[in-house]
Amino acid sequence: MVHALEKSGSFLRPGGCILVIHDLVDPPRIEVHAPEGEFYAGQLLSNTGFENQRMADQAVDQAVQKGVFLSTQVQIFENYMRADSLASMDAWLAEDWESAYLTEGTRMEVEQLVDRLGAEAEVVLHLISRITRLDPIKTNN
Amino acid sequence: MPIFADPEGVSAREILNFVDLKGKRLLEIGCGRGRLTIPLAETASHITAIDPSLEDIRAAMERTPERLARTIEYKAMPIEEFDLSPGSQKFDLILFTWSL
Repeated sequence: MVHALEKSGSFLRPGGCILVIHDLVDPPRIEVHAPEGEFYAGQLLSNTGFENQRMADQAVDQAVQKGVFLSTQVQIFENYMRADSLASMDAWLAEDWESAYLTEGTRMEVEQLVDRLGAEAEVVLHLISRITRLDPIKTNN
Repeated sequence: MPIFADPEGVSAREILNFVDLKGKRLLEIGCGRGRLTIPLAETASHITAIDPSLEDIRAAMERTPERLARTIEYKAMPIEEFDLSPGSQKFDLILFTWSL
């Protein structure tokens, strides 16, 4: 991973920079949103313990520690995956995030909220992501 | 599959808060189905967007509006296989989108 960062640095023009976006290691929230409000249903869990997110963090840290890049700006931000049903969310997870799963308790909570809130309810994955700016450190070599 | 990734466009706005992309050349690594590629192409002068999934690259190409088709160059390959072809220009920004 850190190799990918180092390699990509060779494609930068002078004055260019790298931005890395990845999700935080903390489990994202599963919510149900409707005109009546936003309701917490549980967490999305991962059978790999969000290892990919942890490795992305480490790659950025290693690139800085090795003196290849300087981390010049960091921002944490929230973003959402919005599905029209739990089945749609399940289908997306199966395709794009195989290690993630919902507990039976969370699934029941989602279904009860959707039943109560009606057709306008959305099943929402509430993600917290980090964006890091890396600037190459100039060398005389 | 009725699911929408970041329909509010928060991620693209965050990127534009970090860098001014106007007239800039961007290499996006892990473009997926063009979730960020397409909105960023409204501002950047050129985007090379790569992803190891051919299926995702095809989906991104299908989603790309005709008016942006000349701005974006999609390539189905991992970063390990990517290289600048001789004589091609370097980039002002390299973006790893959930791909490290």
